[in-house]
Amino acid sequence: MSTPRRPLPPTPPFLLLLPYELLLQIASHLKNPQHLARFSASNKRLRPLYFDGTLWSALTPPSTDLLVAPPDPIALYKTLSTTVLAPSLSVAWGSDESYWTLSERVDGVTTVHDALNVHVSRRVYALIAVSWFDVIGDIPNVRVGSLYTPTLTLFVRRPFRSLEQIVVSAEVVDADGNTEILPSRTPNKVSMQLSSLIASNSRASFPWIVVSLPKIWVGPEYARSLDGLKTVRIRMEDHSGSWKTGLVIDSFQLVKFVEEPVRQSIGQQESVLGTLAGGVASVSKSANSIFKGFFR
Amino acid sequence: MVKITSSDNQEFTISKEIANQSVLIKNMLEDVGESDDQPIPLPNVSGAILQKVIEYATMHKDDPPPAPEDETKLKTSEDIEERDKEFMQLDQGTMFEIILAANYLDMKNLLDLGCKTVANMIKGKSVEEVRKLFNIVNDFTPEEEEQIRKENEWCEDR
Repeated sequence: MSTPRRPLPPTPPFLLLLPYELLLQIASHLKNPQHLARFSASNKRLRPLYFDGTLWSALTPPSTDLLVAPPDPIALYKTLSTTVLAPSLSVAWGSDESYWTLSERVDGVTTVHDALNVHVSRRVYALIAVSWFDVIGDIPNVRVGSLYTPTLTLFVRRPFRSLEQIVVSAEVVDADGNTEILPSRTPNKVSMQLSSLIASNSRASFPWIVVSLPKIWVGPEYARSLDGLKTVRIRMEDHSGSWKTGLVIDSFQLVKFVEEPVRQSIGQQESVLGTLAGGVASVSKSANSIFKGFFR
Repeated sequence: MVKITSSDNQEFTISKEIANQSVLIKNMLEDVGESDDQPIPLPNVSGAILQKVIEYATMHKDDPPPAPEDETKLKTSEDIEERDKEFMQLDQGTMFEIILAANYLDMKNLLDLGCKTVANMIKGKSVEEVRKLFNIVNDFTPEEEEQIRKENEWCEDR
């Protein structure tokens, strides 16, 4: 008499046992936003990948030199944004560790330098304490003739203090860093309070938030240089004089907005950025636990 | 020759050129010096997995260092050599253990191979197919699923 065969035990979800940095490395090979979106929609453990700016940066080329956009929102995303990571930002007092620290993102995010296939820890600027600051990100090689949405990926860490007066702005500058004033077309500079930008992002993004400034026009009027490329300068500043702390900056980004005939696709694209600013509240760790250890 | 021991105390003797493919072991060898013939303990890797890792390192021991132009060429997940594809035809448990071991041993090529292989398994699959493939449980509430559907809408409506 033969004994009945026992059913095989189910395969454990080995994939979910990998640390986040390895999940990120796997996802970095997906390349296609649709594949990333579907993969990250399969389980809560994987969902943060969808909001990981590193992967979206890897999906985009290093320059925004696309003038004629393909009629495909996914292809558009790949060609539309340029990111300046924290170490490349110009931060007043940034080299003094009693004011700012350039720390590793402790949620394990890495930067993928795809051409060389090198993965390095991603670093962020954490504000320790200053009475005023300027943070500038210059995005070069921006092609004229389009609207662009400047965005910032940042995080407000508890305890935070005196962060109400921060003004975020974007403007077109010339090769020497001087602001280019346009007589006819506006806006060439946009400015908003950080508090209202954060408030307009309804949900926390694990725990990063991506705040979008109003679109900035980089028009043909600027094309005095032969190559038709300009620099957009995104700036965060607070000169109020009160001591402040709690701000953590990951990156600044510029996203291209293409005019007709693909406006609707880009509109969807923008909603994606809005989504990146959103997040999955249920998987969010508390802000404090994520950045424990920043302060000595 | 270099001796290494796994977490379950299996000892392996390998050539230095194979050992040096692991940055971790290479650094340990440099730290302890040539004369020390004590086995190097690798407490995070089992004997069975270490055997596979050594098999991979042996297979690639004569590979020339990649030229700079090759590095850009090898960036896509489609660029996997046939012998590597065959090597990675494993059950999922072994495959993910090899990825973890490659990460621990700091073997970039093997880690890349593992990650690319998993990425290739994911590509083109629906959410349900991904769950089935990796035996992943859907742990979202209906409300969260609806939210995700909206968030993913832009790349599904093509």
